[in-house]
Amino acid sequence: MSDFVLEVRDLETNYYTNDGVVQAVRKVSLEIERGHRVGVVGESGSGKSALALSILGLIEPPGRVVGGSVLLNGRDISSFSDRQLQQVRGKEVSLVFQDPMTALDPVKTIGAQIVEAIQRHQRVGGAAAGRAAVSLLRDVEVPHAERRLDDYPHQYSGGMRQRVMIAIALANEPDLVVADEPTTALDVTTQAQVLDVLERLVTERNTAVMLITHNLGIVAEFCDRVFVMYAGRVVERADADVLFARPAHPYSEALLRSVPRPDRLQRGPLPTIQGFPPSLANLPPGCPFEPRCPVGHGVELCATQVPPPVFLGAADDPVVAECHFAEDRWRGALPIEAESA
Amino acid sequence: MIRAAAGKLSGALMAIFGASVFAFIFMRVFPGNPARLIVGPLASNEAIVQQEKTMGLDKPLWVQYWRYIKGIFTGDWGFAYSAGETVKHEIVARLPASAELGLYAFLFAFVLAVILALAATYRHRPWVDGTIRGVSFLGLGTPPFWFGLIVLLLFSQVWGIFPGPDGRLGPNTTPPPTYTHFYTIDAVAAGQWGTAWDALRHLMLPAITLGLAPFAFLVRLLRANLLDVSRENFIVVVRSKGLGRWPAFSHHALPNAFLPTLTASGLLLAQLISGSVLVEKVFNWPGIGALIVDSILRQDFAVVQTFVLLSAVAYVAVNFAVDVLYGVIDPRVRIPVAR
Amino acid sequence: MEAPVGRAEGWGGDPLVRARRGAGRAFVFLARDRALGIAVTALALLVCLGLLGPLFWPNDPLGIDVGSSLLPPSSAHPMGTDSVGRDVFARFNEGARISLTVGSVVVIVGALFGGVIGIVAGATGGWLDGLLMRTMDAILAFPPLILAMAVTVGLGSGLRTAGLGIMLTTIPYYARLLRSEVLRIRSLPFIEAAHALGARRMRIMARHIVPHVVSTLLIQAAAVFGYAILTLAALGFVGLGARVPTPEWGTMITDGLQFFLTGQWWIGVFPGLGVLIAVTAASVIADRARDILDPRGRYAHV
Repeated sequence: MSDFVLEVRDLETNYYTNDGVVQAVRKVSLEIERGHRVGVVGESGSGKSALALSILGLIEPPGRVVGGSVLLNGRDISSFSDRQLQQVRGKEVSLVFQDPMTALDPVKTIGAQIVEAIQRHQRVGGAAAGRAAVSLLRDVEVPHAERRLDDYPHQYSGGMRQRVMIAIALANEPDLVVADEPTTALDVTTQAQVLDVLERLVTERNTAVMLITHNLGIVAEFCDRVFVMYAGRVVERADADVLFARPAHPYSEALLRSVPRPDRLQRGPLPTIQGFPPSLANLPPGCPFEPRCPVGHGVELCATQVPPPVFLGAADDPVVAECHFAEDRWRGALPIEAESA
Repeated sequence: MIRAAAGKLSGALMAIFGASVFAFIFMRVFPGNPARLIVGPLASNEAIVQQEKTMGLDKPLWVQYWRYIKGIFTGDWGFAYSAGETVKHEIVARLPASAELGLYAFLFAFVLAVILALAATYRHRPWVDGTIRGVSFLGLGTPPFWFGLIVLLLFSQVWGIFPGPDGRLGPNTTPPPTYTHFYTIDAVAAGQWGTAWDALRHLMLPAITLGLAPFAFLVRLLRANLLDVSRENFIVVVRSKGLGRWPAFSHHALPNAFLPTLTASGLLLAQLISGSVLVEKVFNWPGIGALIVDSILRQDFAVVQTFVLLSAVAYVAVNFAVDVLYGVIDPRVRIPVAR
Repeated sequence: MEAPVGRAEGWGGDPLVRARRGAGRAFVFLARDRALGIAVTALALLVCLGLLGPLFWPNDPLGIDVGSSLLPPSSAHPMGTDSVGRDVFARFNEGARISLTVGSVVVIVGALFGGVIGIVAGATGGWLDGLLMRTMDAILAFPPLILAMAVTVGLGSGLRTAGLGIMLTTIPYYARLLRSEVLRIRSLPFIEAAHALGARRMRIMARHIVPHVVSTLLIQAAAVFGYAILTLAALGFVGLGARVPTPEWGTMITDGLQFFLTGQWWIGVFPGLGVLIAVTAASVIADRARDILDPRGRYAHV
């Protein structure tokens, strides 16, 4: 029985809007072991960010968590009041947000914002907190850390700001860091830099990471286990190396196929997944991926029945996919159709 | 930074210059002879000519303009024929009344706006928000003079809580010794608590009346800013550090929301201090507004010219001051990114 | 290669959904938005009273009947009578007609003048731009009520001159707004893009600039409408607007001034209510017009 830092069971989050009820997170379950790195992959509109916010209890009206449980270090924080959650946020679980340009208060110094995180959970005076902040800045490789403590966010580049966010997230040595698209807003070189810093720090401190992204390349490098989300549900979960070699769910496979491969000569247009993700306010009766599925499109079973989770793979290497054809595909019985643009 | 300031300053000076020319020409464009108005309809032509000479109206226009501008700087602001005193005397005598009223009106408007804007945005309660928005619309649409009358009717006449429209003090109260010319402050400074209280009571109704529209305007502005800011990503980040709703709001949302209202607030304050014609009339307040109306009705150039020029200067000065203040407070302006 | 990005989490990028929302949006807003419904109804009611009032309520707004002076509201006189026996309700209706008409004229003519000035200034640039804008600034330096008063006094008191004075004070707002919009749009990337795609200037103007500018103007106009009515009443209150015995709302309030504190509140209260309703309704509509026309939202992603 492994030690899970996070266990999410059947989490449900809805947004009640003028245009209807948006089911952003639909009975999602996942678990993260201590020190492990987990990737949550999906397109925009798959509910990934809502999942992150739901875990931290930061869903604001018109959104609401309507079901399920979140166990952090064994405690059910989904039933906590906001006051109780304030003790947990920033200390046991913290967030690295996606857009570094808007994630920091523009009228406060970087130092003040790091110190705020420190002093929230540690009983230290201003001077001691300041020194801790400098040390954190050094950890995230910000040059001239002492001087730059008094700078304002607009004086930092995007990559540096994101590293500051990492510093803030790790300030109180949390057990879990939820990173929501931490590199999406950055250029490729900076992305690599930021990820390196993140990798180093979480390895040093044995911090678990939930990395939310749509970038499979990052997932391949960084994550141990992957959860693929589509239309508010986890449609496949597998260890990273297994997923990349042998995707069970057609969506996972399509995602993998759509990554351009510079090492392979590709003729013709790049493969894409046709169509758009479904509106989370207006979900079809059957499998939500059916309209775009190269395997199941037009198949009556897929259009009418929601696929149940199918357990595949070995016990220590579990793979779960929600697809009517998952088992067949896994066993290689059904050939995977060639993609057309 | 200096260059930008100099640029702004020169723009400001040009605006003032334009306003002065405009005011000057304006008052002379219209039919009607102020000299005639002063000496009366029965006066002889010689009397009119004599009056014109006294008023300097016989000189060519540009000479008149030069005297006007020069006079502003030397303190000779002309003679207010309609009042029988120098313009300077009249304005100086009446300015504190308007200024004190304007100040209290602003304080009322601002404080109430902050409280209600917070109430509307802090927690997501649509009916509270809707009510406050409705109140702000009503506030903007209410004619201030009518509101003053209603308020007088209810609070003074019917319920007797506040005094009627007898100006700054009741008939039996003598004004306090003069330090700032603000009755409330002076009375408190002199320890005359009764006088201070009387002055305050007389200020209440006109301040509320005058402050109604500014309040409505500010509350909408603040509410919109607060809503925008509270949806910003950095608020989520602050909360993810473990801060509670109120600390996140007060330390992070409010300062960021206040910043854009600085300009508007400064201008409002300037506007309020320069007197309100309508409210002063309703409450018999001895302020500048009343002076201006009379002067316009009697085509008393000197007063109107001077007033317009002074308010142009005030407008420009406040704009400038706010810009500077902005530069000091907002770090993004204060510290340009040196890349 | 990632899948195309939808508008935001959870909305879905389905174009059919988007189209439906685009076309029917205005109607949905009207139907659901209670405040807007009330505002439109109130304004429509005032318009009816103003235009059709004399038809179903034939009392003469100017008809003096000293014998029935200072009567409180009753079925014969829903708003009572004033000091010389005139029916306040009839005067109210006439006042509605006056205020709404003057308001409309001021707004339309002011928008035309101010808009043209602003567009010319923004499109031409150079010394003309500078001259026009300095003039606008000079006008703006005048406290608006004072300026309107001065114009009215100078040209002779009356509704027309009052309207002129009010209009003069609104022109700079339109001019500045339009000028900044023109400048902003000129430099937007999508204009360059359209240009690069080979679209001719006129086409660019028509398809992109004009609709945006029109919606900005409309919103400003709706707000100015309320301001115009308010200022007209203010001028009337000071005695500079309509001439006695014209039943303009502002002058009616002045009529009622002396009677306020002696108990005959109806003479002054009702016209004030009229102003309040008209201006508030106009403000609400202006506000909602911004939401519906959504000039910032539509172009926000540009």
